[in-house]
Amino acid sequence: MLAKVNGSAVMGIESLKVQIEVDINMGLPCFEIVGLPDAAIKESRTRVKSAIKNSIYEFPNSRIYVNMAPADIKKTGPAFDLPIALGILEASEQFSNVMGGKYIAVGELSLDGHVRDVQGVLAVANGIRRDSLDFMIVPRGNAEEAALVDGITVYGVSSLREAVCLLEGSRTFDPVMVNVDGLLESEALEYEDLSEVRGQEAAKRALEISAAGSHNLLMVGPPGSGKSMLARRIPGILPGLNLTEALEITCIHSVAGRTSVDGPLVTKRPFRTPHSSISVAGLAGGGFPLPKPGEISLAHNGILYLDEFTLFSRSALESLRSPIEEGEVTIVRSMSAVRYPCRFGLVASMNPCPCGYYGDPGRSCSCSAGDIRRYLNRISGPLLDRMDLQVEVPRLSRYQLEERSSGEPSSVIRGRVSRARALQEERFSGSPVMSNSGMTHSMIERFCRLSKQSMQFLGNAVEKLGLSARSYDRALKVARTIADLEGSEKIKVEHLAEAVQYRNLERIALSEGTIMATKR
Amino acid sequence: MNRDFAREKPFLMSLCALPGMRYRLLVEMITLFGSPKGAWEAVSAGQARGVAGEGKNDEWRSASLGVDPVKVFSGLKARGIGVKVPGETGYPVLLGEIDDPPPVIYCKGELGPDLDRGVAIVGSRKATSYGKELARSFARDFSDRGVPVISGAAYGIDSEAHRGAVMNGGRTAAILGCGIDVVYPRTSARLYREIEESGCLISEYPPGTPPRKQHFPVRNRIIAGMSLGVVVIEAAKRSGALITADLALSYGREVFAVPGPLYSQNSSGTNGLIKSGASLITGAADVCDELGIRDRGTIGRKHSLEDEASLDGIESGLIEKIREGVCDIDELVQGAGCTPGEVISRLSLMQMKGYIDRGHDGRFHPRM
Repeated sequence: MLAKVNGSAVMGIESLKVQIEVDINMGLPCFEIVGLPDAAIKESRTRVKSAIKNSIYEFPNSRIYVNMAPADIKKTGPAFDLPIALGILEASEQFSNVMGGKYIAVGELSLDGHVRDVQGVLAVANGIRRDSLDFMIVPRGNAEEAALVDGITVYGVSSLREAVCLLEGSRTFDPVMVNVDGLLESEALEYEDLSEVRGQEAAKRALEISAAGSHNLLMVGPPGSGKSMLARRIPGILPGLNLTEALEITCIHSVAGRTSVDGPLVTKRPFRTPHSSISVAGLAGGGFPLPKPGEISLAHNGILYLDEFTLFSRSALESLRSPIEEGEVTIVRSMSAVRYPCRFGLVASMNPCPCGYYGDPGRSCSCSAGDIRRYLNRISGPLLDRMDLQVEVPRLSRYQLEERSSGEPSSVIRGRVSRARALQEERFSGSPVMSNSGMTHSMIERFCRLSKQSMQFLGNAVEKLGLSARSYDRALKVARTIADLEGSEKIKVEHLAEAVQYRNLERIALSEGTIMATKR
Repeated sequence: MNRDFAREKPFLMSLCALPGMRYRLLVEMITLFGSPKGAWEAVSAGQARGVAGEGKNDEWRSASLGVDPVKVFSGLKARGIGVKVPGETGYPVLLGEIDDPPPVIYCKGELGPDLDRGVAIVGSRKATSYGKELARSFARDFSDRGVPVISGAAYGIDSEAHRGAVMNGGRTAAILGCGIDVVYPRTSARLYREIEESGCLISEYPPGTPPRKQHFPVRNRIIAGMSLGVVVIEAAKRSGALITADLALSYGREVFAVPGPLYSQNSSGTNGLIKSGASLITGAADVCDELGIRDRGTIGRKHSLEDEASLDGIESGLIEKIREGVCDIDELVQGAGCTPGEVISRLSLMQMKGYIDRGHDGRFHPRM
């Protein structure tokens, strides 16, 4: 007899319904799986066989063919164990399905018949709604995650036996329910507070602007000046996540198999800190057979913090360029292309020179002038150009630290940031752009209209301070955010004046010829 | 060396380009063989054993194989590279007076007689914003007085000194530690062009010579020799600028040093110079007074600061603090009575007006 069960293939953060057909015939016993399965699926034969035997069912002693359709897509992972097992049991008439065929089952089987958790369940659940299926059967540990999707019926099972009971109606199961809004609110947001950092007023101001307009931030300062300390406090001044954002993050993390243990929904903004030895694939996404999300996607809706910016490989850094602009990354393989969203705030920090103490009044720097140039040269012009905010973080002596005030708590800054973000949401409603940093050239022309005086000022500033032509647009975007923070509709001269100061590093690099000026 | 040899310049030039040629050796060769031409012929024939020794004789002979001095010379001329020998018009007179002047110099640009009233500005490659600002402003003030600025085209103080002169329309000469057609550091290509336009590039090394570590202390003697006095802006304890200062002293030139903060590593060399008797100077005027250079008074101060009266209370408060040496934004914010954003914005406006500048470390410092 022939049985059909639906499974699901996860590709990126999308899922595709896969029909699993099981046909059992008389003849010499065999167990074949076709339809481009990968090694993990081929191995599922062993798991399915044992799981069936150990769940008081019988593994049919005949010819078993399993086909996975569509047959031209490479299927991977152990999540097909459960639907294959269910198909075999149905085809061998060991139970009769009273729930109908419009469902998807995912789950990995253990040899004793238990169902193990799998990755990417949220993506599968999204597919249930899209394909308007009736319900889905998922491992119990993944059930709450799947139930995050509004308007679908989710059953969690812990064993193959439970799944069969559910389908033959011999036991009643309650669909899993999750109070999504409650999850978002109940989570007490515990971030480190900015008031714990003394002094560093300029850097804190840059942090605020960066958070308000999602501008990329580069901090330059000697070791021990507090760059990482500042960076770690950025999530605390970002507005809380809304449901859409939280679901997007959860989906990516679920696909990567990194959903947090403390709840089905990721409620904290991600703060990713990859080490400088990371590969391009690790950073941008990649892997075999299906590319996994990289750090830039795991940092989606959050912060990607690259400490020791200059120590990252040049290719890794350059791979950031287009994702920064696009807000998503596409990884192309010969058979498929996978798309991951990656709208992250890039925060980078670096020392001013290889030894770290160039320009530090307290310690002497042991690098030669050439060393310093080569070091700064590692950051290409186009990349430096994309760092909207460049800020120097000086090292404070112990005495100075005691003197400096601690400044505003994160909650106050977050208030201002949220107001600025609300303005931007209104401004960009209906377009894919979320924040000032993402403005296209035509948007800049529309939303950053300058008075004659301001225009003259900016032109003057670019020329007198020796900035590149490209920094013109960058400075405008930053000035827009500064005006938003102040609640000002117009961009005034003082906003522009502040904005151009955040391009000091590029200015120095241009004047010393470390990087070449780029034409607009 | 006497003047008549100028006609045999191609041979003199080729002799100088021989590996391991030194001034004394050259004089000895010419004395022995009568003229540079004679000496060159002797070298190509392998007959310089008596002066040069066995090893060098062979080395020279193989180096001279296939070289036609006259052709090389006219080739250089076609490329716009000039060649000067001591005593010839254009060869810096002051340079000709030291005990080991370069027997031949290559140059690009205009090597005018005004260079003989030049002053050298030297200092650390890894200069601070303080040093760079001083180098620029000294160069600017020298240009205003019609005094050419001589330096070594290296990173840091050297580059800033050249830039200061170029930007102010002054004359400047860069002495290189590599061939005249080699740009080192490579990132200074633009500066090289500008120097060539408003002054000249000078090197004693044949075109094509790569920069070598040992070349730089040697070329320092040209910097010291060519100038009336040497101004050391910033130098660490073991800086090449101190070598230049020592050489200048041995040639009887004046050495001037600019004081710096006691804790600054980059000023320990200059402060040391002052301690051991160099003139402490606080401006280009001090140097000109000491050297007896009269202010020609033709060129006014091009760099004009807008009227300070136009600054408001907060701005003049900020600039006062910066002039007192407060340069870190935290401290400026603390006394200013406004938000960090406003302070940064005002600093920006003042930077554009030319009161202050901002260094690579993000600190602000006053402009002179």
